[in-house]
Amino acid sequence: MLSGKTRRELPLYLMLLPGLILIVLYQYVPMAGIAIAFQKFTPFKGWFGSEWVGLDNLRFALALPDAEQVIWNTVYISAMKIAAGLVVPLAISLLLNEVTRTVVKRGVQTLIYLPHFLSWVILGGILIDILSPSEGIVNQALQAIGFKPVFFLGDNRWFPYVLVLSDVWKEFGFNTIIYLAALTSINPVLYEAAVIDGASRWKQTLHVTLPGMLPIIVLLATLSLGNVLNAGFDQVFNLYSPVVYDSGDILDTMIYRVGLVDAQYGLATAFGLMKSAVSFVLISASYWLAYRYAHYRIF
Amino acid sequence: MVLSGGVGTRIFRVCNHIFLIALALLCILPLVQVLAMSFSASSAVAAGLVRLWPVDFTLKSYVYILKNAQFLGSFGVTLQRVALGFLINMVLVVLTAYPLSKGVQAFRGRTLMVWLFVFTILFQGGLIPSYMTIRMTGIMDSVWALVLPGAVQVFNVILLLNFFRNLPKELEESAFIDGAGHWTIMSRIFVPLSLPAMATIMLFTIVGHWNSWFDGLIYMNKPEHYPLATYLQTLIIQMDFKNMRTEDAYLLAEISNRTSKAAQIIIGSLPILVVYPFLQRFFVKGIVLGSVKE
Amino acid sequence: MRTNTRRWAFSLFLAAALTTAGCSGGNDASNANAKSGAGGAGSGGTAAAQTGEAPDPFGKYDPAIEVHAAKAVNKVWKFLPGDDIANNVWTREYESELGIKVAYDWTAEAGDASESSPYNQKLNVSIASGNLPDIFTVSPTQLKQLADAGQLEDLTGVFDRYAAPWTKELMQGDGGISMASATFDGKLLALPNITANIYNAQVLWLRTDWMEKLKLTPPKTMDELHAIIEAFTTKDPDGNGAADTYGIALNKGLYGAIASITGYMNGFGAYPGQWVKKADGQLAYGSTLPETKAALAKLQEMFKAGQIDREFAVKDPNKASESFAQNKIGVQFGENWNSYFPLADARGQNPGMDWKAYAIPTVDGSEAKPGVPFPAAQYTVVRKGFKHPEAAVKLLNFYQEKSYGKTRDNAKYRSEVDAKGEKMNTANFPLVISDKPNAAVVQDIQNLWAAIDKKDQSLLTDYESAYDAYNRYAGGDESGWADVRQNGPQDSAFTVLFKQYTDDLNVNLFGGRTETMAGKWSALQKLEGETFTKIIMGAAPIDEFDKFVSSWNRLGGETITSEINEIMDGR
Repeated sequence: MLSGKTRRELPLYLMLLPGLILIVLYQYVPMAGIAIAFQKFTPFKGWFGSEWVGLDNLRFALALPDAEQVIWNTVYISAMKIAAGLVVPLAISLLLNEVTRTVVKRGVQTLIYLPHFLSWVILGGILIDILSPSEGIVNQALQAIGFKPVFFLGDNRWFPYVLVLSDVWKEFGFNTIIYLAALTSINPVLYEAAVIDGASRWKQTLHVTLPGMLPIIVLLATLSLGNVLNAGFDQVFNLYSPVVYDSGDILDTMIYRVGLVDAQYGLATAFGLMKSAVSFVLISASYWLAYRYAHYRIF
Repeated sequence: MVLSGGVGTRIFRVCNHIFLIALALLCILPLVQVLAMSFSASSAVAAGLVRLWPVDFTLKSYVYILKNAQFLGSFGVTLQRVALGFLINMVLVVLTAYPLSKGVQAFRGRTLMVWLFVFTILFQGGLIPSYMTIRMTGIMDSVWALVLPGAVQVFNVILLLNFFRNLPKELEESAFIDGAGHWTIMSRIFVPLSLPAMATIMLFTIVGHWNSWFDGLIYMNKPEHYPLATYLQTLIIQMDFKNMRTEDAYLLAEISNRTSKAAQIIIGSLPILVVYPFLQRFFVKGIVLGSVKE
Repeated sequence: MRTNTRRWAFSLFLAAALTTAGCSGGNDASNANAKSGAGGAGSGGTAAAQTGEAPDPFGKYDPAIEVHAAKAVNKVWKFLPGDDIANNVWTREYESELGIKVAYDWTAEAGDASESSPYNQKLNVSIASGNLPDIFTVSPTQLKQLADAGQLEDLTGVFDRYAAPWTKELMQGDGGISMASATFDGKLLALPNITANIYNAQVLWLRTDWMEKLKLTPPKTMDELHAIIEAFTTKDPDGNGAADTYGIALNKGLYGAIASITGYMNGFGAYPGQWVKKADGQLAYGSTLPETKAALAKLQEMFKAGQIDREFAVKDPNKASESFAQNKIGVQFGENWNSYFPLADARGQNPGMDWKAYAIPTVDGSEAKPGVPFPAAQYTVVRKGFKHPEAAVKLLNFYQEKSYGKTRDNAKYRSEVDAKGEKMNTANFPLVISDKPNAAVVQDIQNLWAAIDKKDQSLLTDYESAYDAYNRYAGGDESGWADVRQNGPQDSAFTVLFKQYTDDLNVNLFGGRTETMAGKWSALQKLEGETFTKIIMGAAPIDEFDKFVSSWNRLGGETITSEINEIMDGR
């Protein structure tokens, strides 16, 4: 016989069942493929036949001439993207929250999410135009106020910031949506109480809005930590060029060149596994810290 | 909110409006350029002369697309994929998020379960094992290959379970006392009370299916079966210049026609652009309040 | 959403891994092969060989056999109503004439034929998961991979017995280097898809309306070319009063078919990106040789003098092409078909504009020897264990006979015309393709010019559409401009190529992959691109070149060079 507690939990397991079956089949079964990270993979000899080489793939990759520079570029660019990707959408959603005219609010919301739909191939061409040192509108503006023109896409001092800014510009509208949803779930009673206490809009934001959004902010921050080694393949691939390899070549573009162009499956998988492991450690650590010190489960 | 009359507040409000509207304009300029290109003569586009207004206005590109069988076919595949994917994703995200939103007291296995799901965001087997699984399950070259592997959107599950957890506990407790079971509570209380979060996830799901292209490329066996995003992707890749034959030079002129690419991008993204404004009506405050106050 | 797209982007570079089925798939294939080998192979070929009769190269299978295949296709291909890639003039005749039914397991976009093109990605997954069609086309990298894994049928015997005499002649038309590149340990494992690499020799495109305006004459030496470049930069050739023109166009990849440095470097006797024979008979990588340094030094000088677009380093060929239409550039090195793209578009925007192709000038005014790629960039292979490997050879016989042989019929096999008069380029549809080598192509072009000269269409052996275009242009129809500039009897890219360069090409002598290239080649290419771009832009002094050569050798280049020399000695 099932105990009462188990019987009450039974529907919960039933609900999870379809999802579980699907992830086991389409996610966990293929994970066996991670094995080739430790092999000198040869097609057809496959998983049992390929030679086991342990961590040689990773060692070889880390010994590539530019590995150090590339890892540093990756972390530097992605850290800035993570920070900006959290702060900008949050700020915009708070500002939008202060807009009382529905037309303006909805209009702005819709328009800022449009860049998400343009691919980097298209945006790449557009960015080359507007950032051009000779004719680009940005440089014309800079010259108008007395600065020298800057070759944004061809200068190692500027290139990483162009990546961060353009990425934020493309994605902030889309990420704002989550915060806007979070805003709606704050209990209006709290605002009414704050108004009665004489709190200004700024104080209300600080003491009601932000704490109310905190769980979502923490969740998104934690999950984005997992991207510390993802600096954005599509974007970099479409915007970089040999002049800015020094500051713009990232792990994913290197893996792409080595893995696909040189057909090194083991190497590419080893790199992927390293990225996953780093994400796993970071996300688990934040999960554990939040639970240990705040008794809060992030998810 | 009630308008309060402080000068500071009003200055803030005006600046805020100006700032946000300027930001919005900044965001649509590239799209306007693509739109202008789609209505321009191809030689003007090749010359890079088109800015925000069409040069030598023409509707040629749109006529060409509407006659292009592959574009229309791919459009159909995408519609099928979005409809099916949306349905499956939404059902599964709710079914998965609801149990996982329970505390450890109410659902002893939840921590293990939640990690089982989260783990799949972090580790993937890679392309080839996924491909072989798809082949073994016999769904290659069908819309199911685009829908089933990503049926559980773990990121959305985590998002929704966080929203579910923020719902007032009293609602659930009183429903239990009234004799309601988990299925009733999920469908009658949790889902209706999380409409903004549900709308967000609907949007993500639809946009995600609309934009995915790589799976179409690998799992479909004919270009005619490509979903729209995959087809558009093959438009923007470069053509092989290395082994150009004389006859191909004619094709090249067509391939390099950036105006029709622009038009296809516009037609290909229009339907998805209207989804958000439609879903916005669910982003309304105070639903929770209404039910708790009783 | 983000997670989803990321995951797919992620899989893209992790083109990786396998599971048990890959293993069993491989075993099945080798078992099947062992069986058919033991049973004396099911094909009539073996039987015929045993009885000493020469089998018919065009013999029909009865009953018909089925071939599972894969093919790279292009979305702009047009078909007759009701036709598609699996049902067209070629597949129908394969079945009726040869008794071969072609069933496509899959088709995918050819794209730019790079390793990341849709066809190659799909094929890589196919290879790695052990799920191969019977007959398909591969890149040199995939060929090496499959050959190493022992997954390809040995075609030595079947080619010998089944290839028609005309096929054998065409396949050896490049001096046999392509066939040698498909031969591993004495076994022919693939049929190279030979192309006439004379098409890839670069020419110098000059804006002739600017030349006339500034009273300049076509250059014979590099110094004369530099004078033209300087004049185009400083003498306001577009007459708008602004110093907004550059001399020469480059693209961010440096090489390629448009706005390339390849042709310019050839003028200095430099062959970057190519394996060339040094005086001592050994092969060396052209990018590391002193001639390349000299050319780079001159490019650096031109950049400093403002004769090269300061932003070339971020512009791909498409982006770089915009400057043609914007009246900013009057000189570029590229391929013979540049008149169709991008120059025709540029001309559409600027009615008075004209471009003509000229021979690459040289330092001392002698005739240039342009560098051309290896003649075979792709190979047709047969899966190990396929019962009818000779079918691939028969399909090749059929293609070469119908396209270039005595029974050729261009109106059917090269282009069909539908009811509306629209042309279908049927030459793209066959499964097994290998084209004519240079000598045959030169003959076709000479026949074209003879036909134009004598107004006699019957002299044509190809280029029917070019003949039409010439007559259109002669009749005042501008739409023939691109054709005439490419293949017309005067002032065209082909006159340059054929009068000057026939048998005087510098062929890239190695087209395959070596052991050490895997894993190291991409890093070496990165180093090359980075160093050359920096030198041209003046961000690094010219002596950085010597440092590049020593790093290149140290990071694997030296090993690769000796591997290639060993392979070539073996041939």
